[in-house]
Amino acid sequence: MLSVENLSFKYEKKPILENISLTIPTGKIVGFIGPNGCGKSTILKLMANMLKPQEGTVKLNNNLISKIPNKDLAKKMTLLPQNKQNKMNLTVYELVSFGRYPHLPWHKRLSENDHKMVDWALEQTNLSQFKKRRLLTLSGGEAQRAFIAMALAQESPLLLLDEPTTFLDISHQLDVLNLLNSLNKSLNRTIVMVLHDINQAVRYCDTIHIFNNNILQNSNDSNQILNSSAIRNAFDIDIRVHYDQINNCPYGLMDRPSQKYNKKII
Amino acid sequence: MNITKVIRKLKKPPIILALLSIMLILSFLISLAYGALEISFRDVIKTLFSGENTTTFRILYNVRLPRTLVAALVGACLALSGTLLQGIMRNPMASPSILGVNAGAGLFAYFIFILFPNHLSLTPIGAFIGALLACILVYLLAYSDGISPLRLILSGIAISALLGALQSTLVILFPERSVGASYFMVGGLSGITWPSFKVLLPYALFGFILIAFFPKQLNLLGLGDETAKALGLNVEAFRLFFIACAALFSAVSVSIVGLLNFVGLIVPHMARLLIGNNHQHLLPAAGLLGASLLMFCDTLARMVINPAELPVGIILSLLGAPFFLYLLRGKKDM
Repeated sequence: MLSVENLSFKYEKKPILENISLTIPTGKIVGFIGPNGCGKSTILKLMANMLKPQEGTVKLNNNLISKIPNKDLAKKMTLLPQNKQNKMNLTVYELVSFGRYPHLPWHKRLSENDHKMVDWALEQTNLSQFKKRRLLTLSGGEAQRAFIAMALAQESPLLLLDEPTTFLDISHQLDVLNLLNSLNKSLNRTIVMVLHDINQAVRYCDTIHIFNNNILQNSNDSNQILNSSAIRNAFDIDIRVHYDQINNCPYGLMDRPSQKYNKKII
Repeated sequence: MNITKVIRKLKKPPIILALLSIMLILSFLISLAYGALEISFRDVIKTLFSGENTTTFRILYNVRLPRTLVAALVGACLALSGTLLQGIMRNPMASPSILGVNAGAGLFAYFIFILFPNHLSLTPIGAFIGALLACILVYLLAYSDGISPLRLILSGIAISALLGALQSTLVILFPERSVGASYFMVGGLSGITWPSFKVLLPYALFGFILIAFFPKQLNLLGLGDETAKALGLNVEAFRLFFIACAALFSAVSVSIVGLLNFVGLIVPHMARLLIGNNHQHLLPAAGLLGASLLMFCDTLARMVINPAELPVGIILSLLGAPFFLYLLRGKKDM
């Protein structure tokens, strides 16, 4: 369990996050949503010990993450940032094998067991047939899967993902989300992700946290979130809630409040 | 069927490294055999092993062998320095000159030519000190709560410009004393003998052994700071370590052969095109390629306007730049 307590972060005196407290229960999928610039990415980085908060603490199973050595922390959680270097002249296999780094002594090369883990991670992400392909020849969706495979090879039970679906077309978005969902259900990985599509968040996450104006505005069960006023205020939108019988979850149709009065949108 | 296609078929790292090793041996023999006096390969080997004090032996042992060995070590050092820097900066334009190494070495070389014209043997030590000081200055100026690659590159450019301006001022104030220093600026291997080799060898070996342990860490830095941290790498510490290695490699090279810009910038790219970005293979490939290229080009430098010789820096750029562009054209995905 990861717990964030009274966390505040300023960037050059500009407050980004103020007094955030939340917990990530083990085995769940947790979504962060909110308008641009609300601090969603920042909180992920704070949770992964990549930024130091001015106030408050982040604890992993009751240990301060800032006190956990780098490699040990990497065995327990990992973060896939939004901006990755994915145009590299490396094979998919090489990239995924980098995930073994925290398990290797500093001077050692990959052992047979490490190679097995890499093959397993490629299988789980359906990339086995891609393993000799170079990263710069992959599509955005395939590259994203390769990075998820790297995180899997890392064997950390907690995965933080910053906008894993951004820049992907809808079929690749669904591929990535279905993959993350299956990693959660079959391999019991805890997943925290920043998403922009509210309906995808509702469908795939157990819990959703809404960030707005530097604070955590609302935390709720994903089935309830569409009915909350917090989401309407955060994005300044109207939502008509419907129910998706097939996926057993609500979904919303969204409008800008002003557009109600326009019969037709030009 | 062109060369790059054949290469792509043989594109297994062990095969490429084996081919590069063969190239290294061939360049070594060519460099020993050709020059003002041509010696056959068989005679080269026979003479060196017999150790008889003939004219051929003296040419080989006193002139060509030390020069060839220095060319090999310097070529490998500069290529590795460039590979390390491009790797940690994630910037294809990075080369040893980015650290201010060349500008620092150049300025101090001019200092010695102008202030101590009677002690020109101090030039290598002066250039080495200048190179390291410039490096440290660039690093400190770029440091602000960690090193960002972009800030390092920009402060390198600024410091190089500043030191370059100081150097130009010296040239204008003392034109007659600066003539000799211009050879240093082009870079060349003429007059290199055993003492240079003995200075170079321990630094080069020390550097080779150091980086041989850390290709994994260099790979992770290439993924971006955040991904590298998420994988548990101590990003700042390793970046400083690799910068220090790169500075050592290029400072010691520059102090012995002068400024050979081209090797550190373009050999890493050639190696990358041949073998990919995995530093486990890229580092040895770049080292082998840099060594072979410098030995081969130095041989040409001795031969084209025989009995005089061209500075090898000129040959490197004349031959290497078109070859590099040819390799680049074969790569559509860059």
